[in-house]
Amino acid sequence: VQRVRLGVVQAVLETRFAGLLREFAGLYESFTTDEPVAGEIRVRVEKQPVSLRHRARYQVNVNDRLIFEPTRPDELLPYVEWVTNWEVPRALPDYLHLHASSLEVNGQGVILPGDSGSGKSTLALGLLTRGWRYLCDEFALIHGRHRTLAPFPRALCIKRPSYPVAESLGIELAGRPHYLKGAKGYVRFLSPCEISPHGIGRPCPIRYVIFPTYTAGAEPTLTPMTRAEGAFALHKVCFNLFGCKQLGLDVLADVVRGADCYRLVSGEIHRTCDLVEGLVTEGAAGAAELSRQCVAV
Amino acid sequence: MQDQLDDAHRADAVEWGAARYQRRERDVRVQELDDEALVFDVRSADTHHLNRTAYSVWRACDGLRDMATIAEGLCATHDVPREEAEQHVQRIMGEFAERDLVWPA
Repeated sequence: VQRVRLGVVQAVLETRFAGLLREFAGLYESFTTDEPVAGEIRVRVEKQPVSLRHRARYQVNVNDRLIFEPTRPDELLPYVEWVTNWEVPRALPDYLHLHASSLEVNGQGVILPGDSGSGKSTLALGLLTRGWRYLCDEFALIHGRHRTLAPFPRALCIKRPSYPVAESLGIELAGRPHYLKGAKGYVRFLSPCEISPHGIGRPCPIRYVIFPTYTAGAEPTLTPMTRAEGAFALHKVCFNLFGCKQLGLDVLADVVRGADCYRLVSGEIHRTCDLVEGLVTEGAAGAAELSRQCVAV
Repeated sequence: MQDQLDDAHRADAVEWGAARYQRRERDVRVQELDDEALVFDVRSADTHHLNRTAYSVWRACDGLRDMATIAEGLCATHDVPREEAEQHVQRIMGEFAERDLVWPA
């Protein structure tokens, strides 16, 4: 059994597979705890008995519900991560859950909402190498009453097409195990402490909402959005708009009232990070200047 | 023949201009953001984004003002010619009606 406390989420992995436990513990070694808490997410991985009709399968359960039956051992860790994510909205009904990477810099929350493939995790990784602090690469957890962003520092998942970008950011990937994550293909996981050497971010107000879209070879540009456009786009990436105890739309409206919203066309990672960093450190005028410089280059 | 068609169009325009609509206030939740809004329809669970023009038309749909008056108001607040304002109002009202956000007063 391995129990971890990841910001506002506590999860426990129960399995007889020593290799899986070792990999899980390796990712979260600074986050282990012995104290069970009410509402923790229990993930159990076991092997289904082999029969003449079926190949050997594993069973990945969350809170005693069978969710996945993968056939390969290199699928287990991604599915453990997956079912944990799956259960988070149920475990944390006080939070609004958005599909977004979330980071903290100088006490300001920045969220990067987007669908799979929008480049949010890669951009988050780039900003983390510049001293930003990690909250989560898959969720923005917004407290329904306080409207603050909470940490859920799960391992950062890098997809195979992004390996060269991660290496260009100085992240050594060679020698790390590959895992198969369904339709997303092969991925590698990076431990939260490793990618956020300045520590994990603390709960903070949201100051910037940036919707990235990765376009290969594009010049990075930031385009301001109105607050209503921002809130409308956020509601589309919300997992529990009606499940959160506070009405989700009210929370989103309050979030954008205190934040600036932008669309980001992201391209080459270093220049994209320059642009976003310019926005956060120098405000909209700094970002506009950097945009002009990007186009001029 | 052309005269008859023109008369028919004029009659339609007059009829449209005199129409009054009431915005739905039950089972909707409105969040005003600057001069735009998000309207959440509790019945359908749909969320609608009303830009500046659409939101000002929405606010004007009080069941008392007719479409011609609303278009006239749009001319003043958005600094657009009368014909353009009428086209905007007509298109926006069509979308509101399609989404069940207004009904005839």
